[in-house]
Amino acid sequence: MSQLSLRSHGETHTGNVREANEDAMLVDPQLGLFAVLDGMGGHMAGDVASSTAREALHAHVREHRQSVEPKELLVQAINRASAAVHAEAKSRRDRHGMGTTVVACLMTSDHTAVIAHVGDSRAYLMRDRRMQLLTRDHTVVAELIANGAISPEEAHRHPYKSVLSRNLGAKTEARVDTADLTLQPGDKILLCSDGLHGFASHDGVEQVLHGAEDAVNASRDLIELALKGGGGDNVTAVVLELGQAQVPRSTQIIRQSGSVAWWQRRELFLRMADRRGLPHSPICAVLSPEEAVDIVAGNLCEAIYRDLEHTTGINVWTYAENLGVGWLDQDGRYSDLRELLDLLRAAALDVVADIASGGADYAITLEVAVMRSFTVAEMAVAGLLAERLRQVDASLVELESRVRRERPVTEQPTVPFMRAMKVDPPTPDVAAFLSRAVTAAQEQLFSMVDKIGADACLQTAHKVCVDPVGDAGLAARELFAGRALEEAGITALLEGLEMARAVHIEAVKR
Amino acid sequence: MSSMAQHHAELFRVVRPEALARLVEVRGSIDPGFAAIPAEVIRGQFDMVLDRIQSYLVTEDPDPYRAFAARWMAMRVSAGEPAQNLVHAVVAIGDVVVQVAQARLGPGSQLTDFARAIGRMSFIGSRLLVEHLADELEQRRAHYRALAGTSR
Repeated sequence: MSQLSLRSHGETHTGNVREANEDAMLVDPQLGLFAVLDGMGGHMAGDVASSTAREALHAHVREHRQSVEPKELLVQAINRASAAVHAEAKSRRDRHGMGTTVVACLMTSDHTAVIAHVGDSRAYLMRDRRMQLLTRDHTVVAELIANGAISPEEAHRHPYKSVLSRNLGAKTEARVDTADLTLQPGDKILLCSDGLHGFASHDGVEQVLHGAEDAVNASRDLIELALKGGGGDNVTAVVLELGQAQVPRSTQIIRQSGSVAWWQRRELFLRMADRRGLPHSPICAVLSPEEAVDIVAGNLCEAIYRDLEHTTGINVWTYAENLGVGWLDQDGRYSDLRELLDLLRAAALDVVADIASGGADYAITLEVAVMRSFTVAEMAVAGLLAERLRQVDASLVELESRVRRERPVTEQPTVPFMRAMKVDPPTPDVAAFLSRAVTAAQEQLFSMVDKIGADACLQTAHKVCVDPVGDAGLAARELFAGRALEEAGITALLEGLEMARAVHIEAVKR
Repeated sequence: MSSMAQHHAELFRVVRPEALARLVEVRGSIDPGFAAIPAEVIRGQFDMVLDRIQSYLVTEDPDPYRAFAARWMAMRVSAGEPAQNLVHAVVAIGDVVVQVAQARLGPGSQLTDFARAIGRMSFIGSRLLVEHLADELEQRRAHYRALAGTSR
């Protein structure tokens, strides 16, 4: 078997509800050690528990990596972590009862790994497009299901569904479950806290993990998925990707030849930008013609070069964002920004044409890469405009409320003029109104062709309406999610939303 | 229609079913918001986008695409998606089409030409969406100014 390369990345986020992040993660590719820990205990003790355990785990593996068999080493390290948390908890009254979960992966060779866990942080294996859970939650409910005492359906409503049956810190030693893995090229391993699997569906996580370009994108997209699902808890995702790194030939050519050819024609680019009227752009009004060319065109030329060299878009993105922010913040017109980017793009294509006229066989590939740079610039400008659109929407909502002498009911509109409520959790009577309204809409949908899709959509909306972290904004998203305006059934969905929204607003006003 | 445009449109027709299947498969990485949408629903949305790409490759006329871009953005923004995500999605859709073509054709001038055509389409699609965003922003600002005037 050929040697497998390993790429890894982790992301963590406080979530939409919690004030502090009590999750911790460990990503050490050199040591081959990766972990996610989810701390618990009030007054920031959860944070202390997870970070204390992480440091102890890391130190033990680092110290004994060469001398102890891997599985034994990982179990030892987790027990060491439990002892460290336990000692810390006993040392201070305000830390009594603190603890943490852990799920850890230790690479034992190029093709093997051992997974160990305590608590409800999970490990998944993605192979052949299917995602498989490698761990079993150590929760009271999971134990009851395993014993056949309750059904999985009952588990969702069980009052102890979040209560852990094992953790690190309660005792000096923990009962650790382990699993050996033999890995294949293309495998991905996901370690995550319950902030991910509690707020994103298995299918959603599988989709993101399978489709993501690399470990960095996968972990970021997973966090976003959990936040879109409500983000009701701290969320952490560590992704390991195994496979031979393959760089397409076109990428190699651009990195090696294309970037050099581009940089060698820097003067040509500046000249063409000048000839196409760069100094006359209103955006360059405060600069002399020479400064305009040197700064505005020169910086872009370098940004494109850096991006070609590293096959990324971050330099052009930053350039376009800075240019756009500077201009739009002084109430500059978008059309001026568009015209400036257009003349710079034309100058860049002049350079590519010059390279092509020299007979370079990579000229078209370079043109694709340069066009990509300007597409990236459009993406950056889109972000700036979208942010301003949100701000104007928020101001409009506030102004409209004032004009109509209505109490403002929103801070962050997600749908134009459809207020994203940021209020306390619905009281039982509000929840009941919402539930009734959604049920009414649901009944209308029973005559529709797409019953299953609509039913799932409304059920989620209902859950969001009555969930303690739910709000009408999220309900709106759920009701709209995946629906085309032209589709049969959308009218009933909108009516359902309107009904729910009306009672919610009335309830808030009361 | 130029012979090159005809050639690109023909190649697009060939790779389209596979590209559509792949788009549905990787929808969560195109936009995490898509992951929550049932496969049959998102397939319909992607198919509409591919329709427009195909017509653009044939006619090289962005105007029908412009109207569709505005409608699609309105729909996704109504779903609570940040508007800029749609620009990312348009670019990612083009990338998937090129990847599928690459797998079918292998490296060569045919693929490079096709990648260039799709790259231009991605740029134009992004630009149309950005222009639409700018128009929306201008309209809302005008609305705000008008409303602020009446409230005095």
